[in-house]
Amino acid sequence: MVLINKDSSSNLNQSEVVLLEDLFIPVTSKRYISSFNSHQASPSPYNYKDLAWTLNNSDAQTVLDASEFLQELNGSQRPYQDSTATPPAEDNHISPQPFDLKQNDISRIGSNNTPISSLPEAEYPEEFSPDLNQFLNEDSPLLSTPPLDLSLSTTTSKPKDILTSVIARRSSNVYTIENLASLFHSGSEIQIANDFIASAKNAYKIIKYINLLEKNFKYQADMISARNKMSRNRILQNSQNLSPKPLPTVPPTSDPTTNNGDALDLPTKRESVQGNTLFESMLSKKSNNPFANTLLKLGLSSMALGVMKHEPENDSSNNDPLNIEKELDALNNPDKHSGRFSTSSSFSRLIGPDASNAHPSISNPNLKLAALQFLDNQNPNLNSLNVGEMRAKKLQSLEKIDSFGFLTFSDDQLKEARERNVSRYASRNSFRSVREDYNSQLSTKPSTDENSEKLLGEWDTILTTFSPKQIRKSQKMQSLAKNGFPYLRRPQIYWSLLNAYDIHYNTIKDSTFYDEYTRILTSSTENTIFEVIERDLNRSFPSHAYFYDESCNGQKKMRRILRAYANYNPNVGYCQGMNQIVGILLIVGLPEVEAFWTLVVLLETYLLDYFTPQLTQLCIHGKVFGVLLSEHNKKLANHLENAGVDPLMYVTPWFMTIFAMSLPFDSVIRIWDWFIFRGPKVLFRVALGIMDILSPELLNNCNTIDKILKLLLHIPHSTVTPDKIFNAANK
Amino acid sequence: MYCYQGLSLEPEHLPPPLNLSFPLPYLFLFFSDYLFKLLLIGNSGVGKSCLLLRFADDTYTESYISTIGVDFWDTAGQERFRTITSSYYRGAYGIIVVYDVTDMESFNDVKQWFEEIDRYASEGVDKLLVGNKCDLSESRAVDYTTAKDFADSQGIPFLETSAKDSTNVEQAFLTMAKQIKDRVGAPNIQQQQDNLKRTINVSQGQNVNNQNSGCC
Repeated sequence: MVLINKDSSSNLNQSEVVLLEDLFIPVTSKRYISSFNSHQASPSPYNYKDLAWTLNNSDAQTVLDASEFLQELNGSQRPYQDSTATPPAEDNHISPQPFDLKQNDISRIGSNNTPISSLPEAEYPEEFSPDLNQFLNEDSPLLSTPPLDLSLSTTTSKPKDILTSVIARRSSNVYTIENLASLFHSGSEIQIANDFIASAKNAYKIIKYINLLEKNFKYQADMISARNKMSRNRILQNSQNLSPKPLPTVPPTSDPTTNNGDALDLPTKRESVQGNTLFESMLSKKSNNPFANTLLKLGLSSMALGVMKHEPENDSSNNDPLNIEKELDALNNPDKHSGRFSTSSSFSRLIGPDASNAHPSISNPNLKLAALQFLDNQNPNLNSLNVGEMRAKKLQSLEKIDSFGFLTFSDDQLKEARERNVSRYASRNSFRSVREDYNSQLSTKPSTDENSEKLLGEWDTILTTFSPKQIRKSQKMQSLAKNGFPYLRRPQIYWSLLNAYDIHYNTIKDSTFYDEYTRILTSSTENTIFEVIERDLNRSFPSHAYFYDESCNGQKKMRRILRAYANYNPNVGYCQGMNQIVGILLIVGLPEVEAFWTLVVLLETYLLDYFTPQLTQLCIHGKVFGVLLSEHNKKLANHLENAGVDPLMYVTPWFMTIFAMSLPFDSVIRIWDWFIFRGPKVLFRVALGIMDILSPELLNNCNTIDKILKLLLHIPHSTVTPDKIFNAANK
Repeated sequence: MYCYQGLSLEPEHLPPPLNLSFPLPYLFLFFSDYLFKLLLIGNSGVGKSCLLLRFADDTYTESYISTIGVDFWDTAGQERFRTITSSYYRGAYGIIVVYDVTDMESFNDVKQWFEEIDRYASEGVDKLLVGNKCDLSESRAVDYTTAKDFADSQGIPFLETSAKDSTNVEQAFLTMAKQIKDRVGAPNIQQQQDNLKRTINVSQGQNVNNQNSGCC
């Protein structure tokens, strides 16, 4: 997705273009949290591969604003932070299924991969999660609560005792223990551990801190990196400066998919190479920070990167031993240099002033390798950023792009097109009319209100704290969902609300989302349905910059996702309409792999059996809607029936694409938010709302099937703005 | 799709200026007093919507959105949508079966589409076979003669069109309209005027059923 950075200047031509896809990172913290809070009979250590490709997606500049993160940690008390003091959840804390999934329904799918064999186990035992409404009542939960109280009566002084207590307290969580054990007991790492412990000087602090880190880190990193819009320009510049080079420390990728250069481009773990390059350069420059090293060992590599990133900027003199000594001095005496070492100071604020005693001289040559191995199979040859950048610039020179990524046209261009009677632009997509119909109302950029830090922070907290079920229950969240999710959090919210991580937990097992996705994708390369997919790629969101033509990443991703789904569920294969759903997921900002797994969840829950060869569920919903309409508006229903209009004639494009084809895009995205939150009910409510809006026109001016369908299939966009739809649908 | 019988194009009958922001792939063809519904069917991606757009709007786009379900007598091509599109067959006066001359499969499926017509459409509905994308001569997969022979064997008129360079597009629709007009017969002027009034009040299906003996 190509977006224009509107922060720098109001003049679009001068603003930088970056690939938004590189900024969005999936949320992988769900299982993390659940593994904390639930006692798992068969502990499955968190597979850092999952994390690795996630981090690969990020670019180093935005991986983590460590100081920001630490400040947040320092100044905030998360509702779940006491979870360490609470015994692990018991087995009976299995939350109900987040979706109305029945085992029968699942078995009906009958795919090769048996997508959902059983639903995820306990996610958020109640005692760990405070009442959501209560939480929301606080004006500013991130700021108003007191900072951590880290005092521990049984503080011991010996690191080994501390370690023992650490392990004892966390005995329920095997993987953490393993990690801790390996961290603390494996030869050369002891020094790191000791340093870390010495710097904290308090075992409980460490526990708290690690807990917080583990629970928050990945999510926070994602959040912050996505939030860090301002650094996009820097990314672009940096990636241009740093020529992509092969990574010598990484063994040749064993991924079979990267080798064959067939027509089907394979998904790359990272969307572009610049994150990798930056990461590497970052590591080579700054691996002398013990805190960062420790974080690396903990698998929190992007956190470490953030720490490194926020070290002093005088990188050029980095190799100068004197300079290092200066730095060490500064680290040891933070008060002298408090202005310069923001990270150190915020770290010390977090774990106490004693942290400044940390010995910074640890350097482990294996760390770099270890860190890079976290990054899993890398593809240094890919440099999609440049391609994307060129593409974006080309696009920008042609047309402008609105906040959703759709191409827009100046009045002159429209006029010229009209004069030449060329509707090439206009007919690309009916979303065009968003501009014309209510240009002034279109939010060309997300309002500052909805993207305010506070709101985003609250969303982050909510998503990391509460289960989808809890979130859905809350009245306040419902109204929040109706108002639309914040632009910058939408992918995370979709992913979390659909509970995709937990749902796929059992499917994925020991593999990773990426590996499983590529396995599915490459499991079959010949399928007659692929031709059908191919034909629709050019016809999905052709007015969107991301799907503009074949060279767009969007089309490539859509091809792979749809093919993967056809392999994943051969019974459904591909059905027109799925392309629109995938398109929305990608436009919303979900990365490719997440978009695929989200699609799977959607098609097996909310839209179960919608796209089967018989379109079973769609036909049922069409009938249901007919009944609902006659109950809701008898007169209109009779009118339509007399004209011979079956509900299925117009709800098909509405329901199959969740209105993506029929409404202006800002309405579409609001409805999608609500749909993700509430499920299929939303389809009916919105459809009834639209019927209410159009009812006078239908009754008075449309007597024949032709006129009725003309109106219903091509609703004038000015009549279905988000406000109008939601007003009508909420009656 | 609206086809008014006859060819009296008068200013007041002309369609309103097209709003470019809101392209409708349906057809305003104001011949005379009749409204004929034409249906376009055929495999996915053969260019049904583009044909319609070329005829209605005299424009062409490389990237049109794929049709889901039925978009005003322009049907989705994918097989599983037939359950939905088939309900449209009955109200249609003429059905244009479109295939892609560069795609042999789409031509092979033409037979199936005709079977669908026999199953769902009114008896005696006018049919037309159209091979679209004839501008792509280098990648042509279906010979003109092959298709022509097939069409002749079925007794169906056949045309090769190109929505891109607008070859034969108008002829295709006019052929269809003429066929229907010949079949329905030319009513006298008084009847035409009556029918025009009735089209406003009565659903179109009933209107022509009156004209067609024993049909439907």
